[in-house]
Amino acid sequence: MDLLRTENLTKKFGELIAVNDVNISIQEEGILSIIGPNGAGKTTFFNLLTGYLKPTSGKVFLKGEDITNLAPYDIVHKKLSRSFQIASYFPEFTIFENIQMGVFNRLGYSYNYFANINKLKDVHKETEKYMKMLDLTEQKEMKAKFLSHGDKKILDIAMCLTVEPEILLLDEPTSGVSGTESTKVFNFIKNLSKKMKIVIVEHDMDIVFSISDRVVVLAQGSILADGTVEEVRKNEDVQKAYLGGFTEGGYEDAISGKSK
Amino acid sequence: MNTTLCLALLFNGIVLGLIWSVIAIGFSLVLGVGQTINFAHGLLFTFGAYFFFSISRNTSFWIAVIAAPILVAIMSLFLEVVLVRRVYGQDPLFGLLITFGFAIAMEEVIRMVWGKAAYSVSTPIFARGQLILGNFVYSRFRILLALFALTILLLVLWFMSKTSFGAIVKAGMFNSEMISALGHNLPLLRTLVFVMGGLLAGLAGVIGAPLWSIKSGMGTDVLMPGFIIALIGGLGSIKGTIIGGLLVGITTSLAVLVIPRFTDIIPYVMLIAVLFYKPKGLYGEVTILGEVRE
Amino acid sequence: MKTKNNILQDPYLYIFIIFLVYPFLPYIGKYRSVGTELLIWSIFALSFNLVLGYSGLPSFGHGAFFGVGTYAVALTLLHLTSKDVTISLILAAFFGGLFTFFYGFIIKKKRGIYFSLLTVAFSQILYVIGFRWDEVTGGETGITGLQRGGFLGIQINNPITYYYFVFVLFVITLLVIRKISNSPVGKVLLALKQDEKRAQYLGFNTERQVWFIFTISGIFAGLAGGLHGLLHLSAFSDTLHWTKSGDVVMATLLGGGLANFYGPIVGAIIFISAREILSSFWDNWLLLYGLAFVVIILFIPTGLLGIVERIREKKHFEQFNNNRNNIGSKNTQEIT
Repeated sequence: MDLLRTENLTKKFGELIAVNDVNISIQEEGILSIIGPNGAGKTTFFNLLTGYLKPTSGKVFLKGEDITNLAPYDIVHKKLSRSFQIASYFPEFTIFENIQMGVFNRLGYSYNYFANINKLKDVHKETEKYMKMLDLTEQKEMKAKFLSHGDKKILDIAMCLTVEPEILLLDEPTSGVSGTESTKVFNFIKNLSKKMKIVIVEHDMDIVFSISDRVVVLAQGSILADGTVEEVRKNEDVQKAYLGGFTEGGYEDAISGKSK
Repeated sequence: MNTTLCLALLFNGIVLGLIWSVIAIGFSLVLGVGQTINFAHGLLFTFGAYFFFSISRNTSFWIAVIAAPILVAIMSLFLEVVLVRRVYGQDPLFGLLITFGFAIAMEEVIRMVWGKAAYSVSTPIFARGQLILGNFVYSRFRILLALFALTILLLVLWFMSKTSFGAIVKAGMFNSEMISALGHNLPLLRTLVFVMGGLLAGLAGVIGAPLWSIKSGMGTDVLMPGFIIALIGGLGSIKGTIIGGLLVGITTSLAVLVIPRFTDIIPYVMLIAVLFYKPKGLYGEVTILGEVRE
Repeated sequence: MKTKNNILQDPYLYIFIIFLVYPFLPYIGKYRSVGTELLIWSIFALSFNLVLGYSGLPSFGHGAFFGVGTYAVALTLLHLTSKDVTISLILAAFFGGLFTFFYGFIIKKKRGIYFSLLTVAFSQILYVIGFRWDEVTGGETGITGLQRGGFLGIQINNPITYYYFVFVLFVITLLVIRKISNSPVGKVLLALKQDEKRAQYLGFNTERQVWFIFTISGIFAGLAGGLHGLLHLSAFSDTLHWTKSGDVVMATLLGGGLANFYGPIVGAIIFISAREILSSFWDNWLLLYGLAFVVIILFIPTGLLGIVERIREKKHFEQFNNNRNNIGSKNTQEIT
């Protein structure tokens, strides 16, 4: 069975059609990347998949179940999680507290009004586990807003992991991250892909082509190409779209990852 | 049921709706472009009425009609430059509180200057008399005031839909970041819109002065229907605000027949009902900061 | 977070002692009703801060739920029993909670400007009912001349016993709300205030959280309102008016509710004392009241205790900055 599937998914903002009749099936293994020029509808597509936006028409199925009209928090409980283009975390909380939040929910403390958070041993143990994975144990008492940009991105992803997803959607995990840090972020993602399905929206072509098992190209809200890295790289429509899409940098830049 | 009574209530409702719309549009423009709840909008209205009262008593009716709104516009410029400008882009509560505090302080100033007693404006000679249709009699002055309000509303409608400045203001209501991206001066736009809102509040004050008794708290009384109509009509839609105003005005007025003592409740109940089913308002094209998710 | 529970970090004990001995303090101790007023407003501001400070919801109609409590007490004393206030106070809290439960459901998805304006609207609905429904609420003249009676057989009629009665309820409220703020839910509220979308994608139903905390806040607001009614032995419709909601917002902001758990208490003490003093000898004291809002927003938006928090934060940052430099270049690359 498909892990995630869309059926004629369409989103209109007034006159503008952001996502146009997209049908896609996502299987259980490997890394799938969604690429496309600016304004191709990638982020909107993500928002539709995760319940942040309601589609104008069409449906989304997760493990065969219709999740089109579910709220984000209900979708998360069905083991789908996502990160954000602009790293999303709780700036006033320490790193430990940030991670702790996801653990609270998974261990069923969402509506606990009277437990003392410092005395919840199970939460503490679980959180420590993620702290080790993050390699941030030394700074666990630091407020998240003081982290470096790349570490914020990793924190965002780590928070997604605390809900133990089977499918993880990452929205431009390296946007705004410097070269060395983006390698760090991608190594992190690559490790994760052994444990769960990962779908990435990404600008950085270099990295996309190096780690993806399957690439989907979106242009003007529709699927332009869909296949392995090799197939997509050779696709003439894709080359044309990118020449049109990146008028300033051009195709070469887009392919070599200097698009931004 | 008595037809003449119903007709009179309907007319009252229309007059009320039109004035409320003038207030609502000013409030709505500032809310949309400045993303700020201007709780001093009612105060500006009050000043409009007081200025009109004082000037018309000391000079002439027509000078007061022109001068009062302009003075209020200047006041709102001062308010924007000194206070409101500092809270743009911050927690919406801050804008609300700073204008709320300013309004409370200035209402006290009004009481210190003009005293606590209420004033009323006498009907000018040209507007005296009655409109008579069979056995239906209606004040001619009220009709003239309603026509004045309607003229203002149509002017704003024309201004927003046909001029390039109006187009920029509309764009600002959709997305204020876009304004800077397009190369327009957002702070200047916000100032201009705030002053425009002040001018409209002043004009509403001129219309309201002869209709209601002039007292320091009169602004607080019209601020509520003003913001309710702005939300019911939908932000970014002048047409919606006018229709919303008439709807709320007429319903409130006719409600006397059903729940004579509780008519004041009508606008609030309408607001909650409309926003529950149509979060963007009747004709709204913009969702501002309102919903957690779509 | 592990913090050492010394008195400086948790001034609970100080507050407890100050209020405990207040009636015996020289000069101010004899103003017992002012002391009771401070306690009542502290309850109200603490409960309000669950909504404003913890959840970041700019409610501007909370005075209405306070007023509902006052009327609940007044009406039960008038029509049900005037001997004992137990039922009255339970009903005050119950109706405060019932109204917020009902209204919270309607506005649980609204945020920011809409939330503010809709809370104002609801408060006005209650105001109009209170103002116009003469035969029940007394309309413009309100309800006066109530009797305080006893509480479960304890006489609370004289000012000093009533002071200590309110004091006990204040301590209970403080403990309950402090418990909530240290619970997982307290963290969830702080989280949704910072980034609601993030909280939702961790699986928290933030809308329901908002709805519930709004209700809990309403229960204590209703209780505070009921106690206020018992203090003045009257109920007036103007407590329901939206402009009155400014009082609790002022108290909460002034003390620094946005930054510190005890902010609302500090704010309530300063605000109510200032109000009592100023309004007694200056007719135009509202001028200062209005200007105080302007000054707070412009200069100390995080309130008085917020200043303390800011200093604490600066130390926190410096500490980690030093650590970072010691560790070396690890994890320190900053993007410009």
